[in-house]
Amino acid sequence: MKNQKTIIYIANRDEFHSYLLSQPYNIYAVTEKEGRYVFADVNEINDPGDKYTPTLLPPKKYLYPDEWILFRFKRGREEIFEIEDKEKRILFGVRPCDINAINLMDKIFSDGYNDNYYAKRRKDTILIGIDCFSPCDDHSFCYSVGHLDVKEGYDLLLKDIGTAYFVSIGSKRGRRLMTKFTKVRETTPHDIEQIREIEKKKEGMFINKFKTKVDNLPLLFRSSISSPIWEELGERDLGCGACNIDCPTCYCFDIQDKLELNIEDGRRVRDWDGCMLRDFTLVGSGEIFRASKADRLRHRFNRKFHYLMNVYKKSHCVGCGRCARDCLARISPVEVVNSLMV
Amino acid sequence: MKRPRVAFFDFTCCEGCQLEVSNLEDRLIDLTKLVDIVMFREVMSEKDDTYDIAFVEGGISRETDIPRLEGIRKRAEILVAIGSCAAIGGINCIKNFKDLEEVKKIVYGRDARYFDTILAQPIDAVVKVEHYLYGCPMIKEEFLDLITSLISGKRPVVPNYPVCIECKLQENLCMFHKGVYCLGPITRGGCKAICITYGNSCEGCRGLVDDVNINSQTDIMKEHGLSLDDALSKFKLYGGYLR
Repeated sequence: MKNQKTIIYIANRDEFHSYLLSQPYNIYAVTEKEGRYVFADVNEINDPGDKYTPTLLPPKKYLYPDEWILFRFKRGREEIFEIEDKEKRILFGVRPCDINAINLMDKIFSDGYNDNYYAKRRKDTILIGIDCFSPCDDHSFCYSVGHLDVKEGYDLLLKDIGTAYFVSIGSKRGRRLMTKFTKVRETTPHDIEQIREIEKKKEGMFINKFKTKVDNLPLLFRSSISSPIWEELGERDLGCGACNIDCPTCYCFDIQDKLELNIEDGRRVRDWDGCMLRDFTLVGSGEIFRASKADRLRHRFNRKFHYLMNVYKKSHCVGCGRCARDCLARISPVEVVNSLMV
Repeated sequence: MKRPRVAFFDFTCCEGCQLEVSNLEDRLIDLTKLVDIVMFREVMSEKDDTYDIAFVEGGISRETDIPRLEGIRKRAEILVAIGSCAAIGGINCIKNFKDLEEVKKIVYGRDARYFDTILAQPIDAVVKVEHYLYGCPMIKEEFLDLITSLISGKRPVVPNYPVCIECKLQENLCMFHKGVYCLGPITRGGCKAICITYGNSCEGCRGLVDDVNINSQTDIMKEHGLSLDDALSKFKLYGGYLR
């Protein structure tokens, strides 16, 4: 397995981009939008490099999209018509936090029950990551939750050094993609030295923003079930659910059957849902399990740092900071964790 | 419900919601296969007073509106409020914050004395309403979804999440982060955040989503430089009738 991580030096960034664009994949890469970034269908690759801040939506939008038509059906017939999805895609420029989030989702969607719809899209998606050398902005806290480094999940991981990339290969298909690209050369001791220099610079740039170690979080949240913090946060909380939509590890969904105008043909649609929304726990009898915003907030945080962390031994918040960046009420995981520590 | 008879009515409004139905264009034929449209002043001259579903646009703003609406209620099995005016009171309710005599003078000038006016209100202030199609105007897709749901016996889905959800899905930069105040966080979604996507802020035309945090919204608006009065007047554009 070790030689799979062989590092290849790429002579030219632009040549690598052109090569990828010539491949039979749809390429989605980071592009600017209103001073922020989004993943979008691109004709050329212009990654913002060290100016990058997390995209408005995480790349989950390609792996389990909202308004996802799962299949079509005919009313009254026990037959479903699968939807043919032939798209093969490359997500270019996915940062370690988001790759780690996808790794977590791979487990969620396969543990116990294998979600074929997710598995298909995941299989048809090549992930090309770009490593981070410095924190993207004040809101991010990937280091604090143990998600700064990424060890798996990507097909290729790039270290961007301006005119060239160092490439780590993470999968067989990543290797295949690279063997077809002829304008590469093996690394020299000089290159290795250069990588070490970069890695060294990284040290000390990322700090633990939590007043505790990440491993302590499940216990911290478990013992904070009746903390007054939740009520205080609940009063500030708008309940807008933006944090759920923005979050790379929020995966809850709602399923609806919709009928076409002939009321014969129908489609089953999977929409993103969010635990911060009132109707999320509304059940048929009219009861709502988590009626207050405080209850919902507490639940959301426990999902990230307690319940799922106990099962998978990793923080289910990857520290991208999207929720904090977009929260009008300024509720951030860093603030929440640290106020529980007091 | 098999091929229901459907009628459209309007009270104080711009008739923009009914226009949305005629804007269905190529799908109108399919719609007429599904329902029997017996009354629709905006698009046809035939009239018939026997119907199962009444779609009512517009708010109540005259004494004479009340018996007319009650009549429609009696004849219809299902009454649907369409658009902000009928569903939540909407823009008409701006006048409720002024003296009604003064309002009449502003609108009709010297002829004001020939007109009667009462406080503007949504139709459910007068009669029972089964379903609501929110928005200014209502959304065609929701209208069609309601019809297919009623005919197939399925409970229609009314979005009950704030505009922010769909705004994030459109990957719009938050209006507040652009320095523009917005009612998105407290307004019922379902519109796909169309106003924000095209550069305007949310005006709240679909009314309040359930379980809003008005205090927090007001704080955030104040924090962004709006006085309490400004914040309230922003709420009042569509939400004057809401408590």
